[in-house]
Amino acid sequence: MIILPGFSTRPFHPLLWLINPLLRRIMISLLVLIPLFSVMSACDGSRQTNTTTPTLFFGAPISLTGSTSNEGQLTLEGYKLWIKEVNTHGGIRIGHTTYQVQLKYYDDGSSPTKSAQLTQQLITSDKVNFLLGPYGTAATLQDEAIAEQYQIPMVEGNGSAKAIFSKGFHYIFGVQSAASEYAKVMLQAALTLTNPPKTVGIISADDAFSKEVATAAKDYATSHNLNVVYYQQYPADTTDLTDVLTALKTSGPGGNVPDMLLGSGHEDEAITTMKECKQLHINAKLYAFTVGPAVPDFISVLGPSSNDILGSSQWTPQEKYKGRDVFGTPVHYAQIYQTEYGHAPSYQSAESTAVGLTFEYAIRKAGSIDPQKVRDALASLDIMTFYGRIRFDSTGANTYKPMAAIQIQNGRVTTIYPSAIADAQLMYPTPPLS
Amino acid sequence: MAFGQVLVNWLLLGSLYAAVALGFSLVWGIMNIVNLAHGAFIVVGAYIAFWMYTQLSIDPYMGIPLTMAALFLIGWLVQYVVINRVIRAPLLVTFLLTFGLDLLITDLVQQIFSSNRRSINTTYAADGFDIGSTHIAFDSLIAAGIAILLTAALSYFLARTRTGNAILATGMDQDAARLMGINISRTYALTFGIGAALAGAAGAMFAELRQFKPPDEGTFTLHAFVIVVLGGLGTPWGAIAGGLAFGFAETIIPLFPGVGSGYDDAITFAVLVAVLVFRPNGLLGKAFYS
Amino acid sequence: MTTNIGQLARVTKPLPKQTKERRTWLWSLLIGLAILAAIATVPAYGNAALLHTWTWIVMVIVLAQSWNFIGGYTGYAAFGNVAFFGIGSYSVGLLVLAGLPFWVGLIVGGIIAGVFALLIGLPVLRLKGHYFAIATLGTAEALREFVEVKDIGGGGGGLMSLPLPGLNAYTIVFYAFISLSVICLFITAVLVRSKFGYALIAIRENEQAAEALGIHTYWYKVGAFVLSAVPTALAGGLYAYWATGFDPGTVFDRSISVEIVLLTFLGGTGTILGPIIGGILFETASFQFQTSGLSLHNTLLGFSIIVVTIILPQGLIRLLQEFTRKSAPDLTAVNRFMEGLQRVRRYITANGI
Repeated sequence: MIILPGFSTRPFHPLLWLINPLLRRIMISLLVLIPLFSVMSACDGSRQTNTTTPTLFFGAPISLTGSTSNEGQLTLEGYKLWIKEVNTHGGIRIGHTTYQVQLKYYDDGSSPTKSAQLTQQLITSDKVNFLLGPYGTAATLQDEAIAEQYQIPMVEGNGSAKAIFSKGFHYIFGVQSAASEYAKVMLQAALTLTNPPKTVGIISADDAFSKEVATAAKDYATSHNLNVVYYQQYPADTTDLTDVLTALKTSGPGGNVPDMLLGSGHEDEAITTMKECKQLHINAKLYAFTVGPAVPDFISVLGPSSNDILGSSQWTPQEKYKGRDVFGTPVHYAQIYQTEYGHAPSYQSAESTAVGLTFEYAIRKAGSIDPQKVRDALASLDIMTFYGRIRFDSTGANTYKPMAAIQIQNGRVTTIYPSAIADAQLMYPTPPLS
Repeated sequence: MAFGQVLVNWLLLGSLYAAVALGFSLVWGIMNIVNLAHGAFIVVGAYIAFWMYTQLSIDPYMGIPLTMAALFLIGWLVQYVVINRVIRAPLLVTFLLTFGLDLLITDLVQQIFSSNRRSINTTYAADGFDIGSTHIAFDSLIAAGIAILLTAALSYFLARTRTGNAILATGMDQDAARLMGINISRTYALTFGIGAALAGAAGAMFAELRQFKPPDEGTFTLHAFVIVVLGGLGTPWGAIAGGLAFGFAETIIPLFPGVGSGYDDAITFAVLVAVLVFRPNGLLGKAFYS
Repeated sequence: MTTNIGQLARVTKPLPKQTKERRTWLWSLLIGLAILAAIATVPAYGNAALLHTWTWIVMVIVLAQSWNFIGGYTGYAAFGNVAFFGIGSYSVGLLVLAGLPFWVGLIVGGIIAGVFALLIGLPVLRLKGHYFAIATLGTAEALREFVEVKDIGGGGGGLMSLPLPGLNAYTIVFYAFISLSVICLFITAVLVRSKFGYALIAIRENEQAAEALGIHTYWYKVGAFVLSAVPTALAGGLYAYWATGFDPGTVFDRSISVEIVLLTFLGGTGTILGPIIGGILFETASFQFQTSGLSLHNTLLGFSIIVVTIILPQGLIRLLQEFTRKSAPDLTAVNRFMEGLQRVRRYITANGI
């Protein structure tokens, strides 16, 4: 019998694992950690065996946790809806073979470096056929470089900064409108009024995307007789805008509030701006935000203060498009989405579904799943979908789809511009907030 | 330049920030634990207040005692089960332990509540009164008032009650306190629970004044850290001083010509380093919490 | 007591005769080299994803080894080392865009980071403990904001886009990182046995006593800080080349600072092998969690961190050292094993569990 030092001369006990505190602790830790790790490995998706039916794999790193987790979830819902609809309608048929489609995705935690790592994983380990884009400009920038290196086409719908398309890459395609359109469309809508606003204060977050939007807004305003009386950038992750708004409050003619307040940032900042405007008694005649009003929880978070706020959207359910895809019209897409997920679609979901559709039509057009042929088909694609027109210029950007200006009226989102696809009129001026 | 409005903004915002840092300061000062999960507690408090408002129609400010009670229980549990084991450990250990805790709590909150943004919209939000062109919103005023009230209450509790004295004693010299018959682990659990409760109160106020979602907890913790370092450990009023200093860096310094609003973080940390160089214990810092 | 002072003075020089006991540094160095050599074989059999993962892991190891100089050996836990990383990245980025060769950017990045560490270290190293941590964190954050606002990368918000290298660049970058890690390993080993290293350890153990002994603690601290800055900046420069595009949020990401502290801690701060072991274990576990497809992966990661922090507060390497420490010579092998376990138990419980 083994005599353990430090335990007097008691012999080795069969239940020593429970009695000895140290061994007990080690045992518990092992009992906890080993199953954990085996569950991890068992769930490891990259060891999927080949399915018996021919399958096309689409890979995507998506931010399901972290700072853009909300938008990432919406993107995932958009992708999944497309996958489901394609498979239900018989898959993608090329010649005599019908392919089912499958999505392979990982959570990149809203970190662009992890996104790159996971893209690498998807291409070389999981051997996906094509890539769907992540959420956000920063992640898209990282991932497109890898797609370009491996010459795998990547279509994305959630990164709009110009930098994505100005690298001279051939394997990146974006279905959404460019960043510079975000603010332009709202200003255009405002200027169609018989008595348009004369002064505008522009505040912008200082990340690449927001700055691009704000600069385009400023240029457009000044060239169209709209006086930019205030232009200020703030740190992108700020939680408080009282100093910026206090200065804006007195920047209009005569020390008053400017007619219009244009915010270029993200949803968090739009909400903060509105809440603080109310607290500071800033009553502009028109509030416009490039990102925010189109996202579902904007209205639920702000409640009645959200009325009459202008926003811009890549897509709204009210637009009057007639696409040749299985969804057809925005209304129909919204219905299918609502049935599937229990809430209304946001434009992030719609553009993600559009990404899938783009691949579907490009593959059919190419008549092959060879990446090169599909890439060439993408470059020359020109289709009308529920999302709008999808066609790419030489850099891969979709310059053929206009953005829509929306306004929240009586607690729901309405499209007010361009008039061809609008379903309501712009209401102006906005009544005071309090 | 609307100086009145700026001044009011500063005072109100500074007090709100102080509420964020109060619990953090207590736990750090007494237990020498930098609780990186503090932001997570604030977010949990915000969700509890939100839930009470939407499901039970309890006003967030009226419901603060309930929020605080809930967070107190959570804090007590966390201390007893986890933090207790690293009380005597060096700085880095507690740092990393609370970091893991933070990851855990935030992820659980996100799983349960989803990552949607939430905010509480009361009917009286932004109603206020005007002094000249300066607008003072009621909810901001109430929040600032509660923050100062909590600080005063904590100060009174620590200085004048037996339990409070026990907490202070434990913070000064753990072994001597034990010799005096104070139950150290219960005292620590109490302290941590109070710290969490204060975080919960801050969360409830933030839920009404601004909006929140799970990833915001990192910002809260960072702000609390900076505010406590600025204001100094050793007294609850340090949180107020730190909050005002932080608010000053965020709202007033950008108004100086040529500075602008882009450099918020840089300014804050420049102020931080400057304060630390000249007053290494913070503005109101003392050697012992008292 | 003259004898004591004499003995103390001799501590600052390496012992003239090395007994077997004292050669742990050599063992650590050799094991470290062996591990890195094993990693270096990855391109031979692995696919590109594996190479990408291991490149990232080796890069993180380099960052951890650099941090170890200031955090592990000097005892000053800096939480802002990502600032040097970003400096390296942007130096390479800007100089490559200006047409200069890549290695020029690397060297310039290293120099700028060193100077920055010197300038920042002068005020900040007067602080201690938590205050030092928050001051370094603040510096990194302030630098990030500065780069973002001044739009230093030129792409809007500080975005930087570099030309794409060919596919074989991945392997070259991988070996560059490995070389950097080997260099850091050697520096650590030499440090441990040098006067500089002993001074740093003295500062960590008891700074006042070190001052009393006549060590100019301030300058040694600054030296360690600068030493930790340079390899970090070089790693940042290599990263710029590897990733070809980044923004301030990516290369000045404060979670990188926290992560390198965490994994050095797991492996064992102030040890030669600690950063390497901690880096490999933590990154592979983290990656495993992330690709598992479970939505609770962050919860599990947090839970694992808590468990490990409670059980192994001194890091894995020190636990192994406790186990393998020389015991009484006349014990049998089994008894020596049990003795080792016993020591480990005492070691863990001594930390207050």
